[in-house]
Amino acid sequence: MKHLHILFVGAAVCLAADDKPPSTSSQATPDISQMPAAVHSPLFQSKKPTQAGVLTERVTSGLAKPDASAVPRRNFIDNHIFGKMQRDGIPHAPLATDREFIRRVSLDLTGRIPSSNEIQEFLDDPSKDRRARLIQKLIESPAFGDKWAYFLMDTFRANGKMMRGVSLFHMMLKDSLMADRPYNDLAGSIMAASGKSNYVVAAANPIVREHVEGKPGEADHADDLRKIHQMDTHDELAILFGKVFLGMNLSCIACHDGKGHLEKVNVYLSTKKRSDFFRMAAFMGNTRYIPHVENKEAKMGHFTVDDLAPGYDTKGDSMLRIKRFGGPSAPKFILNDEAPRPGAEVREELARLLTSDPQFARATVNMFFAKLMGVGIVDPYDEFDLARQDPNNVPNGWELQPSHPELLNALADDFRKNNYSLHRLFSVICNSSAYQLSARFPGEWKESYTKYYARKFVRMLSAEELHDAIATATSRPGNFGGARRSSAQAVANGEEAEVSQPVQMAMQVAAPRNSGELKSFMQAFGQANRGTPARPSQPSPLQPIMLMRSSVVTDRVLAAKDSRVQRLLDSYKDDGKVVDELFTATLARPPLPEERTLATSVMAKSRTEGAQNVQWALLNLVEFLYNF
Amino acid sequence: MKPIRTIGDILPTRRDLLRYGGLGLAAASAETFLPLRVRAATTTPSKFRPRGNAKNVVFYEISGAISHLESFDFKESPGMPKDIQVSKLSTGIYFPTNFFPNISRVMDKVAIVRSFVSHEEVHLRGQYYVQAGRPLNVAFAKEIPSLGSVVASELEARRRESDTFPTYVSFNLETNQVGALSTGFLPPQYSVFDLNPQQALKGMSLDQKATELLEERWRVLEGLREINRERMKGFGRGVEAYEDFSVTGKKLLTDRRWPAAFQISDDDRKRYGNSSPGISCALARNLLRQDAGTRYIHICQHGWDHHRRIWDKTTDDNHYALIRDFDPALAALIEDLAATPTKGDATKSLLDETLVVFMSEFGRTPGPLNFILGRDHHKYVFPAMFAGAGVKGGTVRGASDADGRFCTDTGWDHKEQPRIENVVATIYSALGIDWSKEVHNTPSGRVYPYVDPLGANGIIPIDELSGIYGG
Repeated sequence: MKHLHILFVGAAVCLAADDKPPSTSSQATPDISQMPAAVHSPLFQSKKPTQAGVLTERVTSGLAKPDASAVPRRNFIDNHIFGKMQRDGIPHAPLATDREFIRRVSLDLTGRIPSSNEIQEFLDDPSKDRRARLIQKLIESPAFGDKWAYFLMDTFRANGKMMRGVSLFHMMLKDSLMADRPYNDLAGSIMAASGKSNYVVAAANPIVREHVEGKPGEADHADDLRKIHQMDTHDELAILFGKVFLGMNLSCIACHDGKGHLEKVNVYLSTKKRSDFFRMAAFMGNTRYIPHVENKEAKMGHFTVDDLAPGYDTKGDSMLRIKRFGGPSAPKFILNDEAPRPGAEVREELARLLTSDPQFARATVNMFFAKLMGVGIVDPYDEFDLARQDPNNVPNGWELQPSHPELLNALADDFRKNNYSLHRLFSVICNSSAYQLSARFPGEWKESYTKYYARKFVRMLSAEELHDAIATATSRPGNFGGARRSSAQAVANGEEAEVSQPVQMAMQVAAPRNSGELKSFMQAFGQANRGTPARPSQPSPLQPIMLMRSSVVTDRVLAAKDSRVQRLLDSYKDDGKVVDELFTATLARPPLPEERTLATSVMAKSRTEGAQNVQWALLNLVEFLYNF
Repeated sequence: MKPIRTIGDILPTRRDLLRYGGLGLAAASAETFLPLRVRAATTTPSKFRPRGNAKNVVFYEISGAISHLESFDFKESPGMPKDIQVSKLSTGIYFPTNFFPNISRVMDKVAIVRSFVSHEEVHLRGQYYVQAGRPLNVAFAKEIPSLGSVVASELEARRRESDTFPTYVSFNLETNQVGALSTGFLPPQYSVFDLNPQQALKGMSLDQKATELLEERWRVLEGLREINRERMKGFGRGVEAYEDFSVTGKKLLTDRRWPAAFQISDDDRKRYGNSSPGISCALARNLLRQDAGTRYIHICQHGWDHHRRIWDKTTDDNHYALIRDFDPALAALIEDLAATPTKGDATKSLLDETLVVFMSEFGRTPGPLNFILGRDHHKYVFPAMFAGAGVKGGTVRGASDADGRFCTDTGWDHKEQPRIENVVATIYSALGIDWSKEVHNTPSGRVYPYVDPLGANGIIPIDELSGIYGG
């Protein structure tokens, strides 16, 4: 199987007579992973009637019926994905090169670009399973915890509404991710959290975050429940848990029956009633959200959460929605109509019922699959329509929702069987050939291929990844505060002054609190403010302007403050070497011969300014901004 | 029966799209941009005739909510500050002239409508309402564009060859709770340029040296791009389109009109005030004066949410402080627009071509102050102010009761009070946009009407506020 792959590339190297083999390799059998991309390009563009062109046609038309041996099927994900492409005659991209792979998987798993050392170490690793070992190394790194804690913080919209609990919650998430805490355990702890204070009980913070304020005015006494709208908060939590843990949008039926509203939106939810929603929210019916009161003012972010309320009031008024109209208020889990066991803590029962429902595993694996693969099997990943999941039972006029229903089930099964391990889930996905396909697609791409995962989808770096990539490439770290020093008192007592490191990466921040230029930059690139409904991170014409002019970039390209440009200029007399290092540090690859010539000629005119300008240009290339 | 037009019909050709923003980046190769079907009231004749009396709109969002009782709908109350001095303006309106000395001068150009009502009492929802022109519906929020983005898409056809500025610009939109809304189902090229005014002064005003440096760096960048052009093609349309944006961005930075728009004089700083709103207003004036494509400007001044110590001068943060920033800024903007003749017709001013709207998302509780000496949110009646574009200044429509608590006169032909939806209709009408349009084929399938009659609790009239033009 590998043979054909080498033939595919190797042939082009032999027969593309116009191209010179790259100077980086002098081996008789070229090491494909070291090939600069230029060598591959005639494969995809050449239509000249040369032998290379003829071979390209033959090889690419051969791809139309994907040969199972062309790309190794490494696990069940590949069996499903490539199996389907084979059945439907869909062509797919080849595997990504090692250089493409290390940059991509570093960004996807840890939100960071790899350093030159890391790249070299990987390329020098002679073992056949070096990609698997890289994946494992990345999953076990602290940066994995950073990236996915940040993602979960965005998901839970963790912000000032948790007040001081936000850092605690962040720390708990990072610890849980690094320890590979079973995800059902984490989810359950969040749903069932209670405590005297969310400043102490980390898992209670999402509950606190969702509070709906009640009537303004003085708090009568320390336990003034009216400061928070209790019923509306129950509803918000039901919506939150439905969205994050079940991948379902229950906000529609929070207001009205599905019937007459959702027939064209979500078949399953069109059969549900508002009373079903009430009974789901009723799992929180005993919960009280009690703000701490200081000087008669309620602190909207510092809460006691307990379960001493009498229950959900289906006739209660609402600040956010149409008045509740009554009806049964006994808790009932919306997906299977199960009630909590008598005598058990109701929210603990919610945790149990929800996490043991198959939809929990399906929604979870789908969400992370979407993050890694670019598109979920069900997309968007928080809009599941449970009536459209079974290929043998699709409602009239509708399409099956998951692109790969059996794969979704298989992923969910694997997740459950492995104790809801996220490390395992990430590993299985990243180790698949499907994940490792190139983003470059030979031949003409058709929109219909999207559902097949026939190539790796490119994505723009997130604001945080972009900032951190710029900081890493230029060796000019950020400063997000967080440095702690001993108090003057401690020092006066003779204790050693302790200074902890400030937070230098945007991805390590608990909740963004930027100002000025950095804030403008981050917002232009879609940093979530976690107050509003999540908006799709979208490209805008302001972004290239930011990359061209913002001090976040222009300050860092200078040969100053121990930047990479400064260090390279000081360390190397050879301009070519400076250029090589700048390219590798910024783009994770060495320069093409023409690029090297261009860059060194720029430096020849004016060494320092030239190097700065080259660094600037590299940061402004689309290749830097995107993950391929 | 005319066929249903697609957004593609309304939009110019691809070549024209490249003038500003390119194809847009709907795809990270994974999504497609479906041409949207815009039903332009072709099956039933529209009963609306847009006025088309304005080329530009400036929307000043007094975010967090100013107390209407001590400003544009003055009411004596137990909570009113002792030092307020109310005079009768030449137009007959009672107005706290000592609090707003500058705006007092321009009130003869301003029409007040005092009868607004909001569905919302909560900032995030209220501010969303103001920016999107419809109540927040979390089920569909992802696909709902901001009003400015819809305007940008509608005005695309009017962009001239020479226009390089973004149609929709905002200042400090990210400081309010809801941030800058996305373009929703519209393509990314209609997204807002949200600027922090102080940062923009630094970053956008390239001097000669900075321009030369940019050109030099751009040459290196173009050189590298050329080398990689073929290789990058294999990654799909979205990646190509990004480079279109990049080219457009550079054109903007090196169009001498753009950096010129970001220069303000010391005199400007004095007259407008050296504050964030002051600089925003000065820059808004500049952008409109350049007449280079910017048509819809949203200025956000946040911080008015004084639940506590609203009139307490000993605190850093109170209504006095915000009024001190707001008053000279808005007045100078209106005066300068009025003093700028238009290019075509010397008898008309830039103010005649620009509809200025200023309002909050709701009002503040009337009567005595609350237990922490502030005022809370009040949705039942509050004012909105209009100037420019033929608005008959010095007038008041609608009225509230003696306390400023409830509406006693809706100020127009309907028994329902006007809402943000009607401001949206007024803005569309002024710009010549038929607001009876609906967009079908949104990602959710739900129809998006340009002006939504349903509101939060029922059907509301979607007329524009023609009364502000007199007659």
